[in-house]
Amino acid sequence: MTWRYRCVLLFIIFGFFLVIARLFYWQIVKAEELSDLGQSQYTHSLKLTPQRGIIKSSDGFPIATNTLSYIVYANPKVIAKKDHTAKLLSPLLEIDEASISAKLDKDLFWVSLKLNVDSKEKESIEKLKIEGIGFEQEYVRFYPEASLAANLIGFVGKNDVGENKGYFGLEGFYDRLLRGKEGIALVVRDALGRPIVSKINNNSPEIPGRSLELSIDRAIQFMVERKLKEAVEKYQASGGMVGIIEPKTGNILSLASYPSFDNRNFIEYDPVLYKNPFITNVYEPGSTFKALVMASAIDSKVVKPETKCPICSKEVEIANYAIRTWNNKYYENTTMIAVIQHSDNTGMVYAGQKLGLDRMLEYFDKFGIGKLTGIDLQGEVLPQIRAKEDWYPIDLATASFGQGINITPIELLVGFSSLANEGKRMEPHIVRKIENEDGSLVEIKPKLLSKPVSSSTAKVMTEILVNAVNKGESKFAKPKGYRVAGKTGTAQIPIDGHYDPNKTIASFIGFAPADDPKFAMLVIIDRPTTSIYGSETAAPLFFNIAKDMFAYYGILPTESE
Amino acid sequence: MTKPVLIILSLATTIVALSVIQVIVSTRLSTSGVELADIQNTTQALKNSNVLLSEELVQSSSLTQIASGAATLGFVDSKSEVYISDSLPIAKR
Repeated sequence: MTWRYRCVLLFIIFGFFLVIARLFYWQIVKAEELSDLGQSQYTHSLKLTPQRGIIKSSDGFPIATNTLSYIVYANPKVIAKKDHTAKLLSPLLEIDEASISAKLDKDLFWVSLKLNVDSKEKESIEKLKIEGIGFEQEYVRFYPEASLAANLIGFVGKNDVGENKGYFGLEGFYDRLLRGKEGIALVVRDALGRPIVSKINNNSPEIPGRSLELSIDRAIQFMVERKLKEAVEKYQASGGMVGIIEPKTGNILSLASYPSFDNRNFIEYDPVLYKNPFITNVYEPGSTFKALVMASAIDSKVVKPETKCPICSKEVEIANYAIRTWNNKYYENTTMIAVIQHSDNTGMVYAGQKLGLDRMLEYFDKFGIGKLTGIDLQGEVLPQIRAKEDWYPIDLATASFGQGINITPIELLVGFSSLANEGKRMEPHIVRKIENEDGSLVEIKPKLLSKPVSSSTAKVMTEILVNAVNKGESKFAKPKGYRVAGKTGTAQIPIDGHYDPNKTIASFIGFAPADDPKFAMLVIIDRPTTSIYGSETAAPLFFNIAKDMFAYYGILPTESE
Repeated sequence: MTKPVLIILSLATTIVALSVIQVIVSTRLSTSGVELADIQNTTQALKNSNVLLSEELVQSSSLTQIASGAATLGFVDSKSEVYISDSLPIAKR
């Protein structure tokens, strides 16, 4: 009897052991997997896509916001009369019947018929009450000001996994802040699939994207874009761009380029237009650069405004190259003030030679030439300045009047605006404030980058530039009664190792009012054909914009003329 | 009735009562799910309506729209500005 008893006991113990082992396997080893499986039988996981942050102009107006859009889909398995359905949908979706029919013939539960359908289109499709046709809601970017500041804002496209992603401009630069964080919610359903309690498990809530408040003034941007377009058409140019900065803070007030694109339908435009030329185009600045070289020469005390140029009576010969003035007029013993006024290349060669290569490169560095400005836009290009040992006397001479040296427009504008801010160069910024999830605002404070010249040099240079505007080639376009400091530029474009005399980049750079500058502006007209000169194309546009800005800011004339 | 029978009876009654309550609560919860779904749909519809109205509002107040409206009405840019400033103090005249 004992062996039977022991055998049964052993069998029972073994049975218990098996149960314990199985329980251990389920409860410990497979616990998480089984829990998920169980949950999936009575819950439905829902992806919560956060709304993308809004981009507002300085007056708080949303220039990039979100709106509703729908994907129209069909379940071919429940659509009985496929040809009839295709016939009904075709005019509403603006897709030919054959394409819709082909999609409805597929042996699938879900086929997409059309993307980006707006609420009105959705309503008219809903009225047809077709079984098997449904809508998926999503948020898409909406630009109330249409393509205003398109290059500056960038656009929202899709990444490789089909998620929204910002490209170019602010959408690209601030993409991580703007897109927020996706969340997941679980919806509990009853046996019939009806929701019982929603969001029972909301452990990973969605975090909405942060909004940005820009320093861009919507009214100025609108006015600048309109005037730029008119100027490009008037001067029959290939394109143009305008950048306006507040010298004291580095806040960008406007950044416009033409031709541009439409952010919503970006796919229909040449990808070349997506880039913001103000930060990506590299060009030889020509005479607008003379202001920086002359300021460097005065600051290092190698010349004074009244210093007379001993080599300016004729062409200057350097290593078999003849440096001429733009109009072949030469002024004997001309002063540095007149050199800027006449945009005299020979006088600039003299100032450059007096400055010397070492000091010139040192000042370039302080003006931020050959450095990224740090502007908060995606895609800023860094043109390289050649190494010191690769500079020849002819390079020093041509760089003095802005040829043979490559920069971006933003580099020049930021460097030049230091002359309007007591010699202090500020970091350029588009975003002024970032709005947190809780609605609090983080202010981006102005940042000093360098102090290329002293405040007294900046003051002297301002007077030289005011004189250049009052007596120079562009004086006819200047608004009466205002003191404007500025310089024209007509840079030849290097093509196949030579400069084409008929293809130029016409520009004008300046700031106003000269005594208490509210803005510094760079205007560039690319390859104008009615006149190749900056004084006849870019300068009138500069003053045309400046005139409106004086009225907008309520700045009164200070001089009677 | 003896005491043990009373205890057993009250326990049984409690169990039955609790079971009934559970059934009622479950049924109510299940029904309120439909109501909840309705409330959610209404909330979503209101949110959608808010988005569409905001869209209309910002579009109507956009400079692009205002400029085009002004042009239709015949407004043009002023060609000459008139500045009204305070007269100069006697000492400066």
